[in-house]
Amino acid sequence: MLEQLADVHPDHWTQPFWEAAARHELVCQRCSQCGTMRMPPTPFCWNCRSKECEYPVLPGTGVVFSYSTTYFTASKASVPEDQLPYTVLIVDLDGAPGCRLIGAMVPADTDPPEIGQAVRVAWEDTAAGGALPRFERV
Amino acid sequence: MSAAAPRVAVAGVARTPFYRRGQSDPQSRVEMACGAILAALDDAGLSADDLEGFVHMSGGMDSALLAQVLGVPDVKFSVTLTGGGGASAGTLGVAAAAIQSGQARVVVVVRAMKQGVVHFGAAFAPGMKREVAPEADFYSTAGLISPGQMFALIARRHMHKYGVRREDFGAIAVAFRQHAQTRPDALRKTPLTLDDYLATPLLADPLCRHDFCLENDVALAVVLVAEDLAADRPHSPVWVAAAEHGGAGRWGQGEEWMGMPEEIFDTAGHRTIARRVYAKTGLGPKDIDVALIYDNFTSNVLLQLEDYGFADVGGGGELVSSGAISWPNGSIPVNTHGGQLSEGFSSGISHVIEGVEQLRGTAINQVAGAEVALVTGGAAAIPTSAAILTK
Repeated sequence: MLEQLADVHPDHWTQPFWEAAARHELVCQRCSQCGTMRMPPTPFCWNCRSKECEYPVLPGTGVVFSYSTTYFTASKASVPEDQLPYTVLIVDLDGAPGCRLIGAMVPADTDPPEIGQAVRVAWEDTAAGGALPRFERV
Repeated sequence: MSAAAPRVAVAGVARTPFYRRGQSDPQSRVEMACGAILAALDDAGLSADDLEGFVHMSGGMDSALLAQVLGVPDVKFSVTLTGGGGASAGTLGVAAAAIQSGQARVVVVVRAMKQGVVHFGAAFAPGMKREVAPEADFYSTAGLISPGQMFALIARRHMHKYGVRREDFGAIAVAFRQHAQTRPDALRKTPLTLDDYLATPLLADPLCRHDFCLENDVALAVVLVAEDLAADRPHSPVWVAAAEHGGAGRWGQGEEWMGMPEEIFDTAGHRTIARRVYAKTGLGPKDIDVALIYDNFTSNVLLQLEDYGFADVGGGGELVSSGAISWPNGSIPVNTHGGQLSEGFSSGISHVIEGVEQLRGTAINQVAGAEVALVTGGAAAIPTSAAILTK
């Protein structure tokens, strides 16, 4: 789904996330100095401003923080109408307090979940050889 | 502004008509912007020979081109405040800072858009951002390309947590549409009932098209002057009592990030701004006679009404559905000009103009005896902003 939006543009800090994704592993970024976890990955820890970090593997499960089903396209070049509707979730990631990940729900024709429901990452391989995080019901 | 600083007044305001997207052709954006500037200067009893400074928001115009076209004798101040519409009310503070520090005596805030050329509804689609941001991969790959989709996620969370209903968002759309009935060039004037609203298909659940602001063409200008120039103008001065911009760093990119701590996620990102404008003026929500609240989406109006203390957190739904925001009978009339939902999108500058007209006493939907107006910019990525204007 959403093939026109599949390109990613990694930098030094997000590259480990996308490399893990290609292996179908969900990681977040953890500050090596203070332990604060953060997403998306950034050059500095927002809490202690250290650049030292690691990328622990997470269980890949989480809890729906919010959701919205999209029924329109603001740009047909980016989202052709045959992709509609689709549901986007914000998910609080298990094992990474304070970290959320945004992802589309699969299968695309699934009814939206409720806030607080459990979901897990379902990886969708891309033509470029990577993979994107989607979410499915547990 | 501290008590010791000289006061700054809005002396002139103007805008072109609102045109449906693309309908302002063959006028160029420069032509529209310069026309608005000249009209605002004229409203202030001034000319381009008096103009000394320009303030823009991101995505704005180049002062060099405007000054060249208008033959401004000496540009002494040219600043772009970061952020888009979130910066709208904050531009008044930037202009005031220029004036109070003696860098310029007459400063114009100018905004012009032709959304037939660049349409903001696809603001987060690939190719629309000026630089490719690695952070953007974390929302665009999920299918988020439009601000409406993003704010829908924030709205849904607020509904879940506080029992806010779609009817509450609808009450905002209905009130602003009612206000637009008397506005000569409002783009959406078809009368709207709550039943009409609820029968309208969703675009991004829980939001439908009546929750979304318009896309259109317009240019607007606001002229600010030093206190000693304010007295002898065609209109009585409207004072910038406070104008603040910014916001919590952990609101940050807000709807593009969605990682805000929960106590900030529950807001429109305005809490720190609200505290500052009230502290600097010694005023509070009970002192506000008319509120011009940035309405990119209905849900963000509700959240801002909570941030500015017109309701408790979670109480915005009850407030808006009580009729409090309607002119003329509501206790706190909001967006008496119809706002960006019904009159026309302006990146928030039409709210500044309406605030000025309300305090001059010349507004079309005049709030009787209005002496204090609140004007806000955003919810959006920081800076968000607010100004309190006084008679």
